[in-house]
Amino acid sequence: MTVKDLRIELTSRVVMAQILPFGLLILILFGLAISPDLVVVGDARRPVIEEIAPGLFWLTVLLSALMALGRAFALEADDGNLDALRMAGLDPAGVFLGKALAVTVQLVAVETVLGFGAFVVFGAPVARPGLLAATVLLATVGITLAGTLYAALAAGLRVRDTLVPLLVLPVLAPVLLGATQASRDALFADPGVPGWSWAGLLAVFSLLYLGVGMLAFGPLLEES
Amino acid sequence: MEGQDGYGRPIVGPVSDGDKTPAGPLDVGQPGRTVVIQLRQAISLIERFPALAGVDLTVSEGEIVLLRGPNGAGKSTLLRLCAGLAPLNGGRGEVLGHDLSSRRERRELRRQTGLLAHATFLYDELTVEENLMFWARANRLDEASVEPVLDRLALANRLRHVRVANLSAGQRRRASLAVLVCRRPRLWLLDEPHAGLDVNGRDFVDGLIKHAVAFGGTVLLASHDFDRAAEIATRTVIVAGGQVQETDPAGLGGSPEGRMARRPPVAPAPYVAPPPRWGHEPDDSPPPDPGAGSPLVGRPPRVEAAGSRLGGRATADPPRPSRAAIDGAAGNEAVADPAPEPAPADGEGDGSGTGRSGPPQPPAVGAGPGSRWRGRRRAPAESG
Amino acid sequence: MSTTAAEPTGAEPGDKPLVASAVNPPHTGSVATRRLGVAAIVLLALTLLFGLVLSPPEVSQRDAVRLMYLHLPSIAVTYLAFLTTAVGSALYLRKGSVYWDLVAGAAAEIGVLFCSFVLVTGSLWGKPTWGVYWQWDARLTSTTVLFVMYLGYLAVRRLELPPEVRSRRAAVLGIVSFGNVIIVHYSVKWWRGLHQGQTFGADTKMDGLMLFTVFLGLMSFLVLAAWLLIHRFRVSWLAREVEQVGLAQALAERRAETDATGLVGRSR
Repeated sequence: MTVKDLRIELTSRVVMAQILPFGLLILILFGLAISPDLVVVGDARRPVIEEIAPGLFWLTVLLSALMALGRAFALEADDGNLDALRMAGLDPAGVFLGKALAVTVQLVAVETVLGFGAFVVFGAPVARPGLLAATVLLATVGITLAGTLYAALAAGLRVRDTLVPLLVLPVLAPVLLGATQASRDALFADPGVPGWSWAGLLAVFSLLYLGVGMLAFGPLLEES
Repeated sequence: MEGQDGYGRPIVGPVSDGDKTPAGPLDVGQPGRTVVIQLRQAISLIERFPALAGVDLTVSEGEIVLLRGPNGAGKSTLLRLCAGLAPLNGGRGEVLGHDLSSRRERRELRRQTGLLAHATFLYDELTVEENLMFWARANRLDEASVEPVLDRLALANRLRHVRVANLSAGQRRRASLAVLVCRRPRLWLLDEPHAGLDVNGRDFVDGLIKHAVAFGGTVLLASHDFDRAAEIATRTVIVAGGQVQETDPAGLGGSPEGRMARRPPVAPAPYVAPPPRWGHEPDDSPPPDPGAGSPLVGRPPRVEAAGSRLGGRATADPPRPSRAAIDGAAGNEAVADPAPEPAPADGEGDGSGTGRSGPPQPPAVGAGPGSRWRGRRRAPAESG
Repeated sequence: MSTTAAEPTGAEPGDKPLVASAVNPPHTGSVATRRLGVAAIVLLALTLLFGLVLSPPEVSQRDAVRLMYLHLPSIAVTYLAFLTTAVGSALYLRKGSVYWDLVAGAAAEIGVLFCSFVLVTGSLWGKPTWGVYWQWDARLTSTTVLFVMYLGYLAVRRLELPPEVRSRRAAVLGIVSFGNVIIVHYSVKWWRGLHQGQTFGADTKMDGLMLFTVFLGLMSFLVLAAWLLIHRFRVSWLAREVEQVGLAQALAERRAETDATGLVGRSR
């Protein structure tokens, strides 16, 4: 599983150069799509874009994650390498963890940059950095664990690029919710939003998928 | 679990029930030799297409079997089946003592076989060295074992830092071979090993095959380079229409069942093939450091459980004179290994030494105490 | 259908009675299912009668409440169907019997069908009641996510893969998806619950006749779903049998390829 991190080296060279700009681009497009001047009246007066910044940020992350996941399994489909992995007799759970870990590392890197980007573009303040960090980490782990499991379903198939989003996005709905709510709390210290509870939901989600993934990866990896 | 259709139902009449009955009548290999591959009416589907439509094949340890046949005859699928990759959808099959119809046993089998397929099994973005390192670790091998292999395959130079994507087809093939060599499988399944290689490369492949067999391996290869492949093969099998059609009877006295006829496999040689080296002048090879064993083959693939099962099944295994010899050879490979022969100029010449035409050389040295890989594999069944 | 033992065609003898394929041409009906079908029709007609004519309109929602007689049973059937899928998937993974795989697939299709029913009737009901077709209501949202999720499941079932591999992947998905339904449901509920109170309370007091109509609708939908499930399963089973026949043919053709090569003759 740590073995897999080796692949990150190469991947980071090849693909981070594409996924990261992609994410930034989406952030900017969001900025264009939503006029920055309007001021909404909620409990407090905030620019619309600031209000929805967490949601936009996590949506961007989701889309980037989809690409990263696709990339992670495209690597394996490359030249019959899934066969070779099977030949090596690796523990499927190990492959699962290794894959997920690799994607997590990549995704955290992307998020860091995107976060700065969002900070600059949307100009949101950060009220609770600790909660924010925890949210980012937990949500990322949740996304990659569930994503890896589902991406494996479609590994090595021609329809992978279209199928994986269809499978993964509904599953990740709770993560999107949890992450958005928790980071909203982290940013604005919103009294109405129990940020840590949402972070807890993310943790539970991650744990569940950790277990499920380790169990289910064997049947999935077998024979494609 | 037995032969199954696509949904896991048994589809062929009476079959053995997997682990419990080890399928006695299957064992009709060479007397005194362990049967490595045993297929009976094996069917394998690709999607819905029966790539293998009932294959009967028996291969004993130490054989070099050449699969011949037109494109699309099922050669590659047969190799994949033996590697535990293609599913066994009907009939029965056992490779290295593993029942092919059991998913668990197939998983075990995969670790003990080496498949050189059309796909390279390499990551394009990684360098040759990184690839080898990765696969060595994935196979739970010592990373130190990579270096000598790189050296042997003449990849230790500039090429090692080249990304696989930038290699030529032949070089890629060489790198795949390197991965295979690192794994040191018991069963070598080579799909067109000669394709895309230059003369050096082909010679190397031939040398490798002989070397593997001399160290107790078994080789199944598909090749269109017929002359060359027939040169080293101990037996030729014709594959067509998803079936094993005929065994080339050349060179043997025709055994009762014509299709199983074979030429005696390479003598489990007192002769130890020198580890082949990429390039023309074998003499160039610096003597490998003693104690390293054969740099290419010969380390025991960790197969304790399966080995014992297989050993136990060997028919009537009489104490063979060659046993001591091979044990000795293997045991002493540390000493005897560095090219004990005045190696002929080409891989071609090696053939004479492997006992096909010339008489086997006398044992190089007496039975060594080490007897590393024989000893380990055979231990439960018998001690040579 | 070839029945030679050496050819991988026939079903297990034990599985045979599942399909009335002895009849020629093979079809999916049987005496029991015909009765079941009749029962479904009668029950549905009764539901219509009670729902549209006999039951009174509700005080606040007026006639829109009649949609409930379709809506609630559909929800029940949806959940039951997806539960069946999960159970079937688990049993398939455990026993490896194609039977359960087909059950899981059939149930998922029915679930998706009824789920779409739920969504349609729900939003139709929403228009007169809430004034909009769509509300970010917890149940609505999570049901939609559920719907999309099982569309994905059906997509996986249609993948171009060896049947065994496909079934195994679908089975994993079938199990995981059901767990997901629960997570999604509660997270969404929590999310909405925080921002606004429950959009509409449970239908608290119900007229006796209305209650009976709901019950009747539930029964009729259950029977209908069972009938659909059995037939869908039998159709899949027959489709599989056809594939098996195709396999026997393919095997024969494959073997015949030999002669065309001429290799055999040459080697003699």
